[in-house]
Amino acid sequence: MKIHTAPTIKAHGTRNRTYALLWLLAVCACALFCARQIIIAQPFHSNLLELLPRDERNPALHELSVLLASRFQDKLLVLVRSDERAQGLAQAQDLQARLLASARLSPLSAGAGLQQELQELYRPFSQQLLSAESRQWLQNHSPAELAEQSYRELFNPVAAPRPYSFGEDPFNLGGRWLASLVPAIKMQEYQGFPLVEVKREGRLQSWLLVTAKLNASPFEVAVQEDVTGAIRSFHSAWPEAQLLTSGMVFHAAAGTEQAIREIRTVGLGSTLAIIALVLLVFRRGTPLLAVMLTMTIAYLLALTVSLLVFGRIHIITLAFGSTLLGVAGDYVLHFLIGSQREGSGSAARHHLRYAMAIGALTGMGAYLLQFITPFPGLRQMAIFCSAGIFGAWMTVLALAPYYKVGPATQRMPLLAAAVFYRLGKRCYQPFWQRSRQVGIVLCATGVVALLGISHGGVNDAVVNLNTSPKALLENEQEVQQLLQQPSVSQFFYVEADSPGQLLDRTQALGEQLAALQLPGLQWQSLQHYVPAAAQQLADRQLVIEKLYGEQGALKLLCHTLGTQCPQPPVPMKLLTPDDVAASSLAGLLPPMQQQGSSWRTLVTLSGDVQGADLAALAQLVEGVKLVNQTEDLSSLLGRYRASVSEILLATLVLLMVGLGLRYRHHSWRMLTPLVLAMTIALGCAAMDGITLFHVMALLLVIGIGLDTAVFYTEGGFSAESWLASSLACGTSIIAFGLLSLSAVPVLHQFGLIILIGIMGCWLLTPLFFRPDPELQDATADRT
Amino acid sequence: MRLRFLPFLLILLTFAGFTRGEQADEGLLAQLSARSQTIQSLQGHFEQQKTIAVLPVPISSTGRFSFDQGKEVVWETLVPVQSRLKLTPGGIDFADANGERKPPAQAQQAGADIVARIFMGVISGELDSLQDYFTLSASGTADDWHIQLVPRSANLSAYITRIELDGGEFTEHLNIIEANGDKTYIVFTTDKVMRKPAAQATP
Repeated sequence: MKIHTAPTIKAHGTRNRTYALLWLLAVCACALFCARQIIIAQPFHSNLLELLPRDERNPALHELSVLLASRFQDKLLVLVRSDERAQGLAQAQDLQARLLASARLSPLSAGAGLQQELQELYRPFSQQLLSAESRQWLQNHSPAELAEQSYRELFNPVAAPRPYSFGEDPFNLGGRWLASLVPAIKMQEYQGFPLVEVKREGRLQSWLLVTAKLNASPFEVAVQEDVTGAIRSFHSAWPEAQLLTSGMVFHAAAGTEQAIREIRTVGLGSTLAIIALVLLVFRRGTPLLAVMLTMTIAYLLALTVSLLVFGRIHIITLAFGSTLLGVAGDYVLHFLIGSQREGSGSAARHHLRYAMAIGALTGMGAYLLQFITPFPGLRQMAIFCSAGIFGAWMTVLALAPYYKVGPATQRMPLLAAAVFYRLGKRCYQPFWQRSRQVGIVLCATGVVALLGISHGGVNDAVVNLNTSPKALLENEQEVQQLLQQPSVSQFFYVEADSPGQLLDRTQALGEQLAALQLPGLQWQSLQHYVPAAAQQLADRQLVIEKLYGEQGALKLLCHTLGTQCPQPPVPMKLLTPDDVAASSLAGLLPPMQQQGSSWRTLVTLSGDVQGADLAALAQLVEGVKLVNQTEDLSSLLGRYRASVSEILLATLVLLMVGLGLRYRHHSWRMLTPLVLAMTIALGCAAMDGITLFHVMALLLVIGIGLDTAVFYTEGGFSAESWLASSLACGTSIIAFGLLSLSAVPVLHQFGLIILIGIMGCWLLTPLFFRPDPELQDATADRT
Repeated sequence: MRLRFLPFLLILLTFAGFTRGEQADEGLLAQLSARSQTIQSLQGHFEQQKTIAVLPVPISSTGRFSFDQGKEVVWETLVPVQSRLKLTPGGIDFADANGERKPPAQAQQAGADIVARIFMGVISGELDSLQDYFTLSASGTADDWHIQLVPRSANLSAYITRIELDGGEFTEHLNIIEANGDKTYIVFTTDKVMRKPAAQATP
């Protein structure tokens, strides 16, 4: 240890005070900033869409698919089983009343006024929009036949309903056009509720549809509480009722509940466990205060930096961030034990400055590597945790000189260390004596773990990204299927240079899809609602020629009726995508987007797409691409898993070189247990295949686990190193162990790998650091 | 909404044959509904006048109709064109003047199901089937009643503004007011009625 002269001590004292003051000021500023943001901006959210990874290769597609997915954001759908019609109706009415009792929900009007809105939108163009059926009808009949058939229709009670008057549309082309837009689903009505009937397993099932519109974001907790409250009270009033739910709000509510539960378990659990550990080892209030202060400042800084970088924070980030308490706990415990040994905080700071810097920087580096991924959630976690570690590190550096160790208390933790040391030594003694056998067993374990890893293979399933409970997802799928909602995971992406070309291409795609002749397949395309310009012109020509010409059907029809008929107005302009986009119907049609000279739209699919080679079909039309979100996302996960694995290997190689230079012959002792622990962790956790998140968690194992080895490099297995490494690992084990209980796959995978990895490091590393006989005696003397 | 007017016409016909009663509205409706079940079959003829907004004169047609409770309803236009429409629990059967059968345009998909369902519901005298689509209100007495049907959903009211019917012992007049301004007015004359045996009529 360096001996300081009096003036330098004084100079150090002034500098220390300045640092500590500056740091405390910064912390106060952070606290004020966080408090202000939390109160004013309400930055915590549970928007699952914001966790969707961005496909950097096609940002326009990402925007359109988010738009498509967001369609079900502002409404909720509940299907009420109503095979027993009267009871089903009573339940549907009750549920609707309970939902609409909330001021944050209102009746869904989109479906209600739809017919009228469609009628108004198409009114000026009714004489040039032909359904496929009407076009054939006009093409295949002479004006005389058309007039004759239309005359009969006037007396037919089952004629298609007429949206427009005889004067505007004598041949009811508009009625046929509108009828062709109605989806093929057999949606009926029962006392004001849409009724869905399906045959399943030989039985007819009926469902009544209850809907509501959200007046606020589904990610607002108040909205979620109203919805879940209404559903809960409904269930207690009708315990036998069967409901199927669909809508973002249900997922968001489940996500919030999940995250809050996790924050509570991980946050509260690790805090309590760390307090217990500190009290057990130090039996004093000051170290506890130091630990609590460091953890609080770490969390505060993490929050501040995240708010500054992202503006808003997903609550899943907060859940993951709770493990920060465990990691931040490490640093301060490390320091506290050092202070106890060195006799003062400033001495410990000086002695541990490199170890703490290496520990903090490797930890931050491991977290920051997550920032390179396209997963917004992980990016937030990366920034959050590395800022937190930085906070813990700086707190220890700034406040260390003010941690005093009184002479009376100086020996207490060492007493604890001695007891714990005897226990540890007794356990490890037999292993140290049989180093050859231990080596063989460890090799065998490593081989078994490797076999397990190769057996499990890789797992890039998208389900790993889910944050919703399985039951909720199944519910959602069933509703989608019953209502034949367009799939948000598979659709066509169409791109063109002009709106006209866009319609031409969607039309060409539609023709290819029709040629498949799959009865179960439906698609929704902009072109269904806005035919291509050429088609409109051709249809207008056909209508004028067959119906309104000198020898047209109208003249003949009116002759039969014995009256003069006015000629309906023939449209002069074409219906364009802009007309539809400007109407309130835009939200119900497939999304369309213009950027510069590029126009894009999606053609969505519903029903049975099995047995169709849609990818091959997409290649037949220029500018059309089949998008399979599930597959794309899965391959994205796969690509990142591969590249993060490379980073992991590179990190290990760099470590090997770096440690070799710094610690020479000790370096293999440090790395072997770490690598072995990582292998075992992966072997245990990746039974169902290695995911991207497993590999990322391994980076964190390096970051946290390396510290353990550093403790033993000087003097091998001793009372202090054993206690320090146990405490440091213990806090992480508690935090990540609690995280591994999470139902969110990402959190569970992270938690489990780090739990096993750190536990492995903790228990395996001492095997490689047999105690120095001299040091052992010294310790024995002291106790 | 692929609802056709036909089912409503047919439903309304089955109100023919209501017997005496003095209660109004809900009570009256229940009474009329219960009594419609006492009819086994009915035959008659109709005169239809369709007023089309821009045409100076209404277009008229006449024909005959019949129904056999639980089995079928036949609607036959005779003048000025001939066509025959038969509804059974199985679906719709449409034939033109030459006896050539064809599925009525567009009615074969979603519409046909609804038609058959409402029709059968009405045959068995359940007003509930009508209430699936309309809000019913009744006034008058069982001897001289008036029922008004207003669509429950905005989608249906995009086509139908309201339907009115009135009658005494049987349905006499039907008036359909469409949203596009057209009106259809039908006058019924009942020729032959066969009632169920008393024991069956009040189950």
